[in-house]
Amino acid sequence: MRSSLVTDDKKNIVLYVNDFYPEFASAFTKLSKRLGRPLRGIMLIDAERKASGKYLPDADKVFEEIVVDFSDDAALRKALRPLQENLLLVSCDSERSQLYFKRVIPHVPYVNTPTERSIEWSTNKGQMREMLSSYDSTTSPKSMVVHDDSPETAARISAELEFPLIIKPTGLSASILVNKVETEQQLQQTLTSSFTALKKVYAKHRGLGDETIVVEEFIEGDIYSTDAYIDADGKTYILPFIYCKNGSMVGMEGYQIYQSETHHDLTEEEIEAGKKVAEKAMHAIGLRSSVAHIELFHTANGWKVIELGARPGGWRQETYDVSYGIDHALNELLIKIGLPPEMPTGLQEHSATFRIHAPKAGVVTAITGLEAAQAHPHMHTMHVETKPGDAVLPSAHGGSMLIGGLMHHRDQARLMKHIDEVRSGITVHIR
Amino acid sequence: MKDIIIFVNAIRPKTFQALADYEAESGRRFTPVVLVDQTIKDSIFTCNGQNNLPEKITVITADFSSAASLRKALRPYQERIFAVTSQYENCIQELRQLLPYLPYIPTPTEKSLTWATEKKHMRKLLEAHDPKLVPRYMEVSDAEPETIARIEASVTYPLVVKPSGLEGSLLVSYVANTGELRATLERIFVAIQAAYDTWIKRQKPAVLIEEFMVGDKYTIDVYVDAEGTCRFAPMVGDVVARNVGYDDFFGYHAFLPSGLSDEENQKGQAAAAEACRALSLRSTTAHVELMHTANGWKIIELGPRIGGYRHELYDQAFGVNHIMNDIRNRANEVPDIPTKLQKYASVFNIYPREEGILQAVRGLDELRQLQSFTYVTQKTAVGEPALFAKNGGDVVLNVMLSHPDKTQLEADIAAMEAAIVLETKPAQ
Repeated sequence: MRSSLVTDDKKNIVLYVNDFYPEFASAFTKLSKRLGRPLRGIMLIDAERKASGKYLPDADKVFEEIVVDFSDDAALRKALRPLQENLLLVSCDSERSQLYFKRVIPHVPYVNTPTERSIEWSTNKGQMREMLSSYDSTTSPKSMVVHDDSPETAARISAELEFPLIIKPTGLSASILVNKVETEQQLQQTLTSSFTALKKVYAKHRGLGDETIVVEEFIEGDIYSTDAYIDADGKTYILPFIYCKNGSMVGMEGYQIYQSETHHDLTEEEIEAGKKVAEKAMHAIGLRSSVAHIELFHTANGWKVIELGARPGGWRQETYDVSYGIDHALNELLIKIGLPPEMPTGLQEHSATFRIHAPKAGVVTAITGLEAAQAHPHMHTMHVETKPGDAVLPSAHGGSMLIGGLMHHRDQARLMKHIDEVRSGITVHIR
Repeated sequence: MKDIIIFVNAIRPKTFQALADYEAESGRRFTPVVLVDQTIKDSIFTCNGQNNLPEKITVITADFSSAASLRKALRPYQERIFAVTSQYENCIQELRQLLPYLPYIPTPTEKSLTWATEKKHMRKLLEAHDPKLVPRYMEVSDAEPETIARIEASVTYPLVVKPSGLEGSLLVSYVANTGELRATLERIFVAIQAAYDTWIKRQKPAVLIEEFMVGDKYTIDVYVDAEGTCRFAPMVGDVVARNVGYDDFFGYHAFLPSGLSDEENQKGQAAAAEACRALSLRSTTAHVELMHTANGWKIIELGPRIGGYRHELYDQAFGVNHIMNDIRNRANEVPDIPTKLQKYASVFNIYPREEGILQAVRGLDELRQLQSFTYVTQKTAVGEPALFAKNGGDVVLNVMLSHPDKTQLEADIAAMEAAIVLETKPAQ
């Protein structure tokens, strides 16, 4: 851990990689106040991403902007050299920019960062599985990484793993192209359709690494996720668990998150056991000086890791703020400079997110009920990520979320009732 | 209790005494463990003289390409690891592979080790950091006429031709014109793969061409801490073989003290520190080779490790325990660098004047009688090929002389140079 980052007044640059999120601005301001010195915020953006427009811009120009070709070490060196003496921390919060972050890490050796390799391992589900099983084989299901859909590959999978199986791309997040298969025939068909779809989806969603697929034994259990912080020495701070329902649990096709809730029925003992497995996952990946988003299965045989990302989970900034009164983005900055995060002391309000995906492939012709949903008194935040004219797909075929929102209420039963009202009031017309 | 020191692939023989000296002085206790990549164990042990390690030394093996194998090997020691070091250039690749499994102890980044062991990356980053640090250069991959033309359009004779991934002046040549350049490139592209194999280099061979720098060569070992702060072992003067009549670039005579003024010493230190920063080094020792030219200090190259014979030189001249400093700096402790001169000290690399099969080494008895005699090590046996460094050869004799009286040392150096004769016979 760099001891001088907090105390050295020269260290005043906060560098964000590629994508800007609104919570950066307030966390940055709070950190400046906490350290008692003005800070300088800079967005470091890859030139190709900037040119293609595939990044989240800082539209209000809150921070300065430096654009550089991340594939050119000499260019990165030249761009970062003038900043080196003043760098306080470097952060990257979007999944799709993690491998860009990996390229920046060797050029910023005197601030706290994860290792280059831990970023690679946390963005490739095949390598992640290898790291998890080599660290503790009880924390993850048996799995294989495959590179093609040949009959020989399907036969090899059938011989080594037990059905049912889950098939997922190694480098995509948000359950895109995740499918369950029960037989070798289904396996063969799904491998073929997945590899065909993979090329298109990688281009659209900026998939990370190789176009490969991980096949793993299906785990029966309840899904939970947690976000956590890990410091430079490997000490972990784990936030409250969030209960998640995926599409298949409510009769839909696919494994995309359908709803997540702060309310759950886990006992203290079960929570402690889950935290231990979450910590093992972070140590297995060799993560440090980072936030982590960890998804877990709670099974009859204990906790299993679904996957881990070296970034905050979706909607977690709002969820942890509304329900626990903590600033997740600020905590991420604190852990990177060697200060402990502010951990929650108790539940303030229940909250839950809902996500609407396309039920079928087609073109969006109209969306109704949005205004009423947005005006709902218990709606905290709502994101609409589609519009009439968009071509959409179900998640199992490569589609992403169309509409999502976070609602809150002191009473869990009434929160669920409000969410159902909002869901039933929104209709995405697809032709 | 943090008492385990992991030595990747190999351990320098002087380490045992260095550890014992430090333990006696500090009251601390350490346990050295050599962790070797099982896929290259035989070759690396032979190449680095590890086959007769003391029995008490723990040697563990793992397949460094397997997460499960590395984790299994590390598990019994993980909680007790004080530091991890790599003392030889040809062990740095395995250190790099090991780093991701040790995220909670101070280490360099993987990429910085790649940059610091491949001259083509090194040159590129040094130039990007500060163009004044390096001569003009280019990378080539063949000896075709188009390549020669491209070189001559980009850089000016005289030139130095060197492999990108070898240290110790191996296969390094000076060329003054087109004919020499073509002949040298043709020779180097034939010999380079064999040299990489001999010195257990796993990179893809590549060749650099750079403009020859006129000046005096110096070397310095730098302790770079986790925050990038550089602490310097003394600057070492280095007489290059070309300056004493060899047609070669190996370091013939390294000596302490260097004789530099305080001002020039500080400027040299500053250039070395900039080189370490250019390569984003941290939590490592860097062996930096510099040229003191009319246009200031230039970087020849650096390696993320202690320099050869530097422990012995620093120990004799200033009482610096360089091996322990390397380890302690990697563990985020401040190294101890005494500056009071105890002895004038010189190390010589002695190659044959004529290449061939080594027939005899004359003058060793006279050498051992000298007042300044400290040690001699014979690296090439009678009957083995004794080649120049530029042709991929290893040193025949390594001689150290040291004495508190500079005049006596100079007299003994002259006597040593007169006495030592390496007899060779042309190979059939």
